[in-house]
Amino acid sequence: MSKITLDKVNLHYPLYDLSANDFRLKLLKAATGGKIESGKDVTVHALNDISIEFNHGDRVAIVGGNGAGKSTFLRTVAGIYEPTSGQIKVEGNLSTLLDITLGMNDELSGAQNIFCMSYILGRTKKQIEERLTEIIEFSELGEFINLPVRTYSSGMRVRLAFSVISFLSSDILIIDEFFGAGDKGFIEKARAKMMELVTNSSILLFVSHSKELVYELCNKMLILEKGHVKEFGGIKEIGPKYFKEKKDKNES
Amino acid sequence: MNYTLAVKDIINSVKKWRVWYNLALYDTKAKYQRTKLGPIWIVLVNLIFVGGISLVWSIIQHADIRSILPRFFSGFIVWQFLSSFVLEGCEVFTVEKKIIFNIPIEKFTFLLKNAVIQSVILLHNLAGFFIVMTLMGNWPNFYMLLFIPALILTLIAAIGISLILSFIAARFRDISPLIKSLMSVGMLVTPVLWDASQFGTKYYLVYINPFAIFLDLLRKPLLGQPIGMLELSLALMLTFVISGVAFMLFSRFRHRIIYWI
Repeated sequence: MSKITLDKVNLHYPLYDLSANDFRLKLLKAATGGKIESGKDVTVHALNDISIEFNHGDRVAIVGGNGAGKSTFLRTVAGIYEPTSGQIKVEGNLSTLLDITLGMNDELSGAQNIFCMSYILGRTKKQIEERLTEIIEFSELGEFINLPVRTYSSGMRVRLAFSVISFLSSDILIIDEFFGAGDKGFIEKARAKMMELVTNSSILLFVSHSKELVYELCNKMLILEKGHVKEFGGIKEIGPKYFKEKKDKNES
Repeated sequence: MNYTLAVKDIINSVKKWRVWYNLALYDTKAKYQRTKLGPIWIVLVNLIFVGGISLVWSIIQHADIRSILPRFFSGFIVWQFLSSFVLEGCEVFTVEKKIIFNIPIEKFTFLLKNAVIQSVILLHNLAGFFIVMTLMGNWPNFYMLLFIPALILTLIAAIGISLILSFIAARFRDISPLIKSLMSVGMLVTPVLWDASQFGTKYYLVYINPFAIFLDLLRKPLLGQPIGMLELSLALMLTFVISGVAFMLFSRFRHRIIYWI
């Protein structure tokens, strides 16, 4: 049974080589809306005292404005950032889908890239070979699979990358929105594959701006604001209000 | 300081050897992807360089090229190996930004990956060296077996050095260009081409330069000579100090690397 527990998690994010009066800093402050503390070193207080629990069956949409800390939150739960204070306990194995083209090398062929990218994700040669035909078939790259990736169009790259990651199986999935590229037919197929991945997982943490996707994949919602938890609950309860407010804000 | 987490990082990254071993191989493959000769280029380039310099040096010094070439060849490939840990060491984390930002991964992985890349290049060069030696009629002897323990000791020190430099160079961006310019004179102040004995009775002064210590440690077995007590004890001491410093840095700053790159 998978479980994620965060207890009073804080994350201070240092920014280097910026002086306190720097123009770039002001720009950053305006752009992120996050809280920037300037002392000797400039730090962003990206996650502020977050205590929360995710259990088996939770499919959580993480939403909030720009700079609310959504991606930082995902990366902290995944263990990419270590919290400045507080505890994070993760039970179950965890996979991140934050950047799908991770480890892709332009000079190598599509097939070589399948191996290279899968090794980064921690798979063994045997596991990769077992899935190889399936992955190649899913990517619809045909003969292109033996050509170097630098000859690919951006749509083909996405197809290759998605095919590699979509054969993950994991208790906990941490996903940052990455749809958009690729041709229409493939997006549909990728969505179906995503649903399958999510169904087989125990906990999903999903950052997305798409209302449609969020309703399709998630059953809970976590609203972040300036690194705080603003609201956490069932998507049916807090979802409509959140999206209505967001829509009103965009229209005004 | 969190020593347990640092030890865990190191142990887990060693356990997940597939990641760094394969990344290193695919990186090397990608580098030579469009060349016909592939990594044999490494050997050829060095052969031309070493052959040319040895020829000129033998004329200047009025010496037999047969006595200069083996020493310079072995010295040069060992020097390349050692200096690459310093030069590439600076970039170990900065070039892996994308991976470090997007998946949870042990940081020590990237130091091991770099060590594999440099070792693969060394192995190619060694093959070239032994072919030339055989053609010149210099047959291997038992002292050459000492190369293996010497290499293991050197690798420990070299990984330590690359760790220290990778941290410092990621945090302070002026370090990398500084080191690059320092290393360009490095080979000249290290007895790659010349000999420590040319210092006369003060030959030990050469060993103030740590490169000279590890150079002799690796080169002497390659030339079929025994390793001296002086360079062995100095190498052991240095490895101990370097690993200690590297481990302290790793424990203290491992989790901050992501903010520096």
